[in-house]
Amino acid sequence: MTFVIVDVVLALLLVWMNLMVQDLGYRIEYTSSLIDRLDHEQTELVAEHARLTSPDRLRRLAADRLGLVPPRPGQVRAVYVEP
Amino acid sequence: MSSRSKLGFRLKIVGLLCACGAAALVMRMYRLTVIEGDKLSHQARSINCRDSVETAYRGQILDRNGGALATSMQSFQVAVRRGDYVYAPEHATLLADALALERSALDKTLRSDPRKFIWLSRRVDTDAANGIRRLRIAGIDVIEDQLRSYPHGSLGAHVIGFSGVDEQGMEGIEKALDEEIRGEPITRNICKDARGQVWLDRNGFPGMNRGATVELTIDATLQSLAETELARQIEEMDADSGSVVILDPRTGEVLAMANAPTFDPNRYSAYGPERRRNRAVTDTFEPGSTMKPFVVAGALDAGVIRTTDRFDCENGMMRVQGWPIRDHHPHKILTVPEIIQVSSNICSVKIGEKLGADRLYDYLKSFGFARPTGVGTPGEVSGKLDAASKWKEINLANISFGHGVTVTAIQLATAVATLANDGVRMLPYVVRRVTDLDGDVLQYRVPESEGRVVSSAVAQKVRDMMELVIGPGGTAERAGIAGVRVAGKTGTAQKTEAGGYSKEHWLSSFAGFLPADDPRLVIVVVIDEPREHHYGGVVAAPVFQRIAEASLDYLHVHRPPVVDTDPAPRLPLPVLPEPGPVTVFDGTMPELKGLSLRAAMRALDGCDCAVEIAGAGYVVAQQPEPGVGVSRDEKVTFTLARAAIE
Repeated sequence: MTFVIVDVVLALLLVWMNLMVQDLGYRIEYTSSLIDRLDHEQTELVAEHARLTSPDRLRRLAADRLGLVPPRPGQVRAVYVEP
Repeated sequence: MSSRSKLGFRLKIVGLLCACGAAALVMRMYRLTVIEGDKLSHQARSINCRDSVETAYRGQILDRNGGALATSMQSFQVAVRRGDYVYAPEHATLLADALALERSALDKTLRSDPRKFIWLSRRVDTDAANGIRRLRIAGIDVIEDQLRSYPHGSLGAHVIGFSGVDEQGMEGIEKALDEEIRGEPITRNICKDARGQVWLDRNGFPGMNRGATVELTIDATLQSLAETELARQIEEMDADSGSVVILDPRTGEVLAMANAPTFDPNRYSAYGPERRRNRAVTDTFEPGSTMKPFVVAGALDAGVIRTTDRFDCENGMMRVQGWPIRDHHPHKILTVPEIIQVSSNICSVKIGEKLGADRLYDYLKSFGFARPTGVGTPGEVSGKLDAASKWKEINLANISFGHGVTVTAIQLATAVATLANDGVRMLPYVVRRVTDLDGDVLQYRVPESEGRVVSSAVAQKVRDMMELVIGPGGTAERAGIAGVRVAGKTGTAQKTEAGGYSKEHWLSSFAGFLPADDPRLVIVVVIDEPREHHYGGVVAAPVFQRIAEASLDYLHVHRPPVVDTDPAPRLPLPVLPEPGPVTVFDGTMPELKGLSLRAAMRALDGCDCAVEIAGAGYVVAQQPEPGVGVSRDEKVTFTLARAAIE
């Protein structure tokens, strides 16, 4: 009788493990897709950041919107700040 | 048997039957999942699993500061498979909304276009693609694709290049490192369940499959500066085209490589090949007088002349094998530095003759002329310099002042960098590092020297001579920058045409470096066929000056302040409390305590000193103390605190 009970328990354990493997497969796939999507989003954001901070664009905005002009000789002073 | 006993017996029977049923069920599950699990799994997989080849996204191209110059993004295409599609009138409305297309045209396509496969849109973003998938219309396919994007537009376009519709590198670094950037396709074994949901992705890994990332030596800010100033001068001088190359002479790194006219790689097919050519490496020109420093350097290094030697410049005219050689201005007797300063062709010819054909040829080859520099961009040409054995007397004469030899802008920049780098030639390069998807370094370029071309002392002497070119009486006063030692050489060459040299078409150039006493930047400017003026000192030198001026500020190269006698109009600034009058710096340290940082800096205008600042607010302590003399390059320290306001 004990042998039968042990067999049944082991069989249930194996079945449960197989179900868990399958469930884990779904979860891994979901997480993998999420990483994939975030990777794509990050790539898009990197491109957007590069576009927005392009020196040409910033120069144009500085001139057109803010009326800024390039510094005249001597107007830029390099200073050293102690950390 | 009592009724209670009967009930107990029946319950035992039912319990036994349930146990048997459960045991049978477990045995069956055990058989399906464990004993026959592999076989059944294999059968299921052959039905529900399939291999899917996934091409890699092209890797990114970055500038030296990590800014993206080229990147590939997910994109989608939407198409109709006629065989599986059944027309319904509402489809046109739904798809037109999702794809932002015109409804009636789309309806006509869906209803009556006879082709088996019809593209509805080739560029669809993720949200629209997901929206169309949710519609679940049979025969409407959403196909994943990639879109190559160059976020800076035309910035660095000739160096970066572009990739074609099949994601193949066509020009520039995209072409040179196509194999690395393109990456490897991967095969994924994807299993779906009965609902079509993926539950297993064998060989899969999270994230995008992407090619290698390429990090360039190009600095986007300097590149933008070079392109802007070049385009401005091309327009002002009504010139055909031009190039600018900026190098770090200490390492050989190319910081900028600009060409005009240019193109936008996002729309490369809208431009002709003449706009897409990287002229700095593909176009050769006769350098003219920019060649003279190398002739002089060779002659000094070979010991055939000394800087104090005097040459008779024949009052502006002499003949070699019957051919006339002229100077722009007549000169009589000049020393070697003066020959460079005023750019005498005749005296350069005499120096070339003293050096001799064989040695001149060897020196020019050693400086990197007539061979590709290997900078790393495709299409680089060698330029032309015939073997010395083929030279006649007139060839030696012509080559001595930069005619009868052709060079590229990158060759000229590298040769000037050799003089700036104490006579040691560094190999130029544009690709600093290539890393794969895992971050492993595939290529890493370190500064590489090709060896010494001329002695350090000779390089120093030639640098001093080139500094005279920028000073009073030199040919490039317009290249000067107040407070900074600049060295360079102008070039004004007549272009060749059938039968000889043109009297109308010119090529103006300027090759220089700064600061002359510790060169950080080599800048070469080439302007092809300017029509307003043609002298290198008028056409190319101002471009050098403007780029150099802004580059020094950008690179924080220390230089003494310039007294602003004609201040530019400024936007109104908030008025800050400034206790005490601001004095003019007279060589002694003024009293700065209580002043704002702005006022303190203004009080030090005219002081060629390095300022160190600690804290923020108003000056509460200073070093040196007021009244103490301050010498050149002395360190001045301010301590600032907000408490001073109160």
